[in-house]
Amino acid sequence: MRWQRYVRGSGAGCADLWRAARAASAGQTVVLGAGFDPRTPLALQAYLEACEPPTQVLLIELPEYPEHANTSELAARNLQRVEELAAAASAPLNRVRYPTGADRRSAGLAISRELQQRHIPDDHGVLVDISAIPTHLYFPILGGLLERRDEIQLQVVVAENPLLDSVIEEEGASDPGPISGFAHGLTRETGDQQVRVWCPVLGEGHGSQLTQLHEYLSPDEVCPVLPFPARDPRRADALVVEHRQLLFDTIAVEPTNFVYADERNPFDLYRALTQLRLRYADALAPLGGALVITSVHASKLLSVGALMASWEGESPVVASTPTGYALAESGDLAQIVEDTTLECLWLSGEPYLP
Amino acid sequence: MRAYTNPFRLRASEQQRDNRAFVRNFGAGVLDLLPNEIWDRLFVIRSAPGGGKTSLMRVFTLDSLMTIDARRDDFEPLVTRLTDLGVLDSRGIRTFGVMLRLDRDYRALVDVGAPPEAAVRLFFRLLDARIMAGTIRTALQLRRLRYPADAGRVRFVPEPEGADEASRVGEILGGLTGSGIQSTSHDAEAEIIHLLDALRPVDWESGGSGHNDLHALRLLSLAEIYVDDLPLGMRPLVLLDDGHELAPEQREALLDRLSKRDLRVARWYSERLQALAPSQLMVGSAKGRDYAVLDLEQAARTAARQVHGRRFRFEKLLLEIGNLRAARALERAEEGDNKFSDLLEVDHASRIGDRASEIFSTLNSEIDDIAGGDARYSAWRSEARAAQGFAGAVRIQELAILIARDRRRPMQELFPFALGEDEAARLSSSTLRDAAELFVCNRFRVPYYLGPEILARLGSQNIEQFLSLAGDLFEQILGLITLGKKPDLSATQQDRILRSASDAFWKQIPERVPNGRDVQTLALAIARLGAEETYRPTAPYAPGVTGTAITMSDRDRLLDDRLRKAIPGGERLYDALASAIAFNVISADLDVSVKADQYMVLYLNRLLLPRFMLPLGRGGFREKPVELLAQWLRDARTELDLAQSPLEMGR
Repeated sequence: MRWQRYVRGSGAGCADLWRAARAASAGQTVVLGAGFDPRTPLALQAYLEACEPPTQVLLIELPEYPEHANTSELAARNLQRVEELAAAASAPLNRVRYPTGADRRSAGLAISRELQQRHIPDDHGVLVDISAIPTHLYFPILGGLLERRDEIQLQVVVAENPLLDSVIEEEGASDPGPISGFAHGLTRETGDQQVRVWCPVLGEGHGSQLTQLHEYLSPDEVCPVLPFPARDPRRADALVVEHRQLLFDTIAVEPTNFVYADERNPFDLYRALTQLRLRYADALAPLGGALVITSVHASKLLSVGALMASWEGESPVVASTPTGYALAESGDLAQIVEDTTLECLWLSGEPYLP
Repeated sequence: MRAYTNPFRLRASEQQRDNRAFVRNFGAGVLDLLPNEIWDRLFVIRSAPGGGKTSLMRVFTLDSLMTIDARRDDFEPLVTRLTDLGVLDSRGIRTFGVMLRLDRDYRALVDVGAPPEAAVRLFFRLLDARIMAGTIRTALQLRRLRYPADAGRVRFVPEPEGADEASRVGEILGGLTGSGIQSTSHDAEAEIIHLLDALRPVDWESGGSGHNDLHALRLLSLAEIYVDDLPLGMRPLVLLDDGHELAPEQREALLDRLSKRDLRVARWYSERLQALAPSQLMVGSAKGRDYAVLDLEQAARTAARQVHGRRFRFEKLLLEIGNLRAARALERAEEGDNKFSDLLEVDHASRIGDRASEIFSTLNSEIDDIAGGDARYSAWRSEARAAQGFAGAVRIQELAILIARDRRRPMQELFPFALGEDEAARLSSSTLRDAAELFVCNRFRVPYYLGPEILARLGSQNIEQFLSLAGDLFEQILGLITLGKKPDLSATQQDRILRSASDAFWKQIPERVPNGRDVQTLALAIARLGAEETYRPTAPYAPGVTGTAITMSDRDRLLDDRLRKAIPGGERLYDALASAIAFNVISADLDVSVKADQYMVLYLNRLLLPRFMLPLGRGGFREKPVELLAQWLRDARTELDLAQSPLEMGR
């Protein structure tokens, strides 16, 4: 396992990781998404306060949702703030346009390929802030950068705020399929068919998405992942109750199939999923092996663990890609944002050299 | 305590793996909807999500047919219909379906950077690979051989008159042997999927040159399938599901190829019904001559028709499906012979419970107020005073509506005469009685949504919806059985469960439906309009209004990119309406004639109606200009309103 030992930092500890990566690189690129999420400028601001200015800041333009006036205003404000920060640090700000295409799911792969072709030099440190980037985009972006693991110091930062996560609502999530770059043979039809094992990483909400994905995959086995340990020790129980009908009436999950992973440590989830994949591969080898398919319905921090496991194991990740996002009415947003913690994961480069 | 499983919760995907469960629960009556011309030309099936198009196709796949053929006695209704269709005969299976889903990878080919024509050629190449691989797999399965290991035992033998053409297309597909074709198909798929999924930049030309036609269909039209040098003796049926997932240019190119009349292989294609798309399915092709179409919901909503001597009603079919599903669970759990629908029958007299005197007192005093002491209504008022039970309360309300109508009549007699029973009978109607029942239940919070017929009507949008509601009710029944009680659901219980389901359906709209909040706003506006018209004291549109309509010419303006921009809020309305229809929140009936004009009528999904306390009939709508519908979106209510309010009407 590539990340059997790992490097991560939290809060003020992130700065140490950033400085170390900067010291090991010829230059530094910071990648972030220009969206309505109030956390958009936080990681960049913290980075600029702790480190020398990056060589470039890459801003990925994200779709707007004009029917939601509050998100449009927030996106404009975030963009202005990012521009101010970059200007104050004299860091060149380059934009990556959001691709228009026939298939919404292709956008992430198109952005990833463009980043690699045109924007990320070798021997750079690359810090990707996924806080404001949707899952179906940051998976292929990070996956593509991991393909260049021997060339770059890759770090991921996410501004963790569960309360803020709960007020950002996904809309129109009804298009199940593999995340681009992470299909890994899921849709092959001309070869032998393998046993399918689905591992949904459960979180609050997403009931209809889970149902759609289950119908889409028609798995032979389901191993739901629950967050434990967690800050709220009853959170896993609450999730089981919330998804009771799907888990026990519709799917009839075996109680022994539940998998547990630390809510706050994506590397723990990475290990759990990798071990599960290897166990099934070993047990079902005489039957042609197994395809372990993941979907993530929990925090972005935890989802990076699923990304690592899937990228390394070449196993599929599926999602029901939303058509839009909205911010629920939630009181004082500024106050909610104050309770944000930065989490940083170092995925490739210096710590992993043999 | 014994645990029971809810058979309505075994959903599509579970049944995808358990063919016997799928076949057992499939309502054979749906096959009566098939037109005659489904074998010699393209057959298109359209329905809303959950409408049953995939299940209908799946019945014709080999897995389902083998299950049916192996247990003919268990599946007699299906066997009869499939025999009539020529799919089965006394020797066994004569037609086998090869089913492919069009939501896998194809659309993304448009975004690989290839010019449009090249992208379509890649699309055909991938589809050819999968059709051939699927056909070989199915042929091997028929002979209980393994795929891909035994692919070499399959051959495609050209018929004499098409031998040259068959050889030509065979060469493109990898030859005329199963192993050659399987290997070529496998490589083609791998190359194209690599193009779609590689995280590093790739050149689209690495996907190969592509195919300029669907060669698989041509080969299947010109060659017979042999396994171990013996003819299979069965005809293939190519089933292409979810065509709406394709990019427009892909869909157009595919339908153009599928509609060619020189193809002899049977081919069916399904797509989601889109009422906001140009109504012509294919430019340049003639419906009837080049293709046949089945609109599942339209056919189901049409009045009962005689097909092969069998009457067909969709709601009756739904109850049949419900009873079939629940039969085994009830046998095991209850050891009785109650059908699921029987357990939903209630004693209507019990609906008003111990509130009879309060209700009658209120209704009678209202009649006195409306009648205003006029002797014309004295007989009706006497009848009202003598009324009893729930039926009596409804009768009083009905009389109140009749009096209100009579009071507003424009021509007043010089010497008014007393209205008697005959007159009441003449003026009454079943729709008026339905309206009266709704008024009573709404005003006095008496259970309204109950009984098997109401369940079938609530679920009649599509089978998935019906199964979900039936599952909710059955959950309660199982609870009663577990506690050792009689499993009859009371009126109050049923009403509560169905209203909760309605509420849950409403709340899921933003999560499930693109432009969900706008869809909710539109639905809320239609519901408000419906409530205002439904609950007028004279009930002019009995049993009520549950929809709105725009003229077909307004629909045309919405469809036209240029004209739509000229409508303030037109784009937003178009997006919301398209989503609402595509995701079953609103259904659309086209070309409905009213007086001198044609309309697109927009009805709320029946499952939303309990939330707004609206009736379940499908008759009433009020037509509005398209500009007003766009205005409704611009005047959107706050999110708090959308989340909280069932409409308060008549209370």
